[in-house]
Amino acid sequence: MNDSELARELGRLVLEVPGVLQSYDTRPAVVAAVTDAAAALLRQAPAEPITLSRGPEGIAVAVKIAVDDDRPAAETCRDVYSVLMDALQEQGPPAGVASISVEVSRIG
Amino acid sequence: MNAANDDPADDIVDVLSDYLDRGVEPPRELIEQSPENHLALAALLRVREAARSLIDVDEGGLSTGDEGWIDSILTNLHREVKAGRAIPLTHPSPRANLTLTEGAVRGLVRAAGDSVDGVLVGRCVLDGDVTVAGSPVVVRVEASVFWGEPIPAAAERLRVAIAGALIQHTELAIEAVDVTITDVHLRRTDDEGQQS
Repeated sequence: MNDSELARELGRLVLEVPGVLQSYDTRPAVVAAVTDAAAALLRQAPAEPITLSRGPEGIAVAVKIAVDDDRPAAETCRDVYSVLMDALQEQGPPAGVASISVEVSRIG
Repeated sequence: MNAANDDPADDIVDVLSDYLDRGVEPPRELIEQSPENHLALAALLRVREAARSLIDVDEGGLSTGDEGWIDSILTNLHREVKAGRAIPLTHPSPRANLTLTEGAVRGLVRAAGDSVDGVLVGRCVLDGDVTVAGSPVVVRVEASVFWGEPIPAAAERLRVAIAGALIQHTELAIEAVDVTITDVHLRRTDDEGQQS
C-alpha cells in the first residue's frame, strides 16, 4: 500500500469512528485550492484530508475533524487516535509511528 | 470585506450573510469546506432567527433598530470562528498530539448559550493560557436577554449551560464563567412581526 492509498484508508477509518461528522483538509485553504485545481486540470484525484509524512522517527499522521456533541469531544478524539494507531501498526511500517495528531475543529 | 486579506475567515461571515439575505441556501461544498464556514453559518442562522423576533428597548422607549446590536455580533463572529489557539487533550502516549481548536470551543460556548431560552450570546472570550493543560481559564460571555426575563436568573441559566458544555467536551480548568448582560430586547408580537 503506497502513502496515497494508506491516507485514503485511514481517512475512511476516521469517518467510521462514532461521533466523527467529517474530516477537513489539513492544508492551508489557499494551498489546498491551488493544488486541487492543478490536480483537476491534470485529471488527478484531489488530495486526501489526512496528511502523511515520513521522517527518521517514523510516519507522522495529521487529521482535522468535526465531531458531534452527543458524546464528549475528547473521547471521540482519543478514539480516532486509537483507530489510526491500530491501523498503522497493522501496516507494520518499518520505521514505526512518530506521531498522530488529531485536531477537533468543530463540535456539533 | 477585505480583499487584501487571504484569510477566508475574514470574509466568510459577509459571504454567508449575502446568501441568506438573498434567501439562498449557501452551497454545501462551501459549508463543508472548513469548520470556520460551518460555525459561522450556524451562528448566523441563530442570530437571524433571534433578530426576527426582537425589538430593542432603549432609554427613549422602543425601537426596531437592531442593526447596531446585530453588527456587533457579526463583528465578533469574524474573530470567534477562526481556529485560534490549540487546546490540548491529555493522552498517555507521547506520540499523541490531540487538540481542540479555540474556534471549536468558542463555537460550543456560543451554541450552548444560544440554546438557553430568552438569551443570545453576543461575544465569547477564553481568558487564560488555554494552550497549557491545567492552566486556569475564565470564560467571559456577553449576552442579550428578552425583556421580562429576570436578568440574574437568565445569566445563571446561561452560566450553567456553558459550564456544562465545557465540562462535557473539554479538559479546560474553568475557573469561572463570567456573564455580562449587555442588551435587553422585547419580543415582537405576531402582529408586529408581520408589519416589519
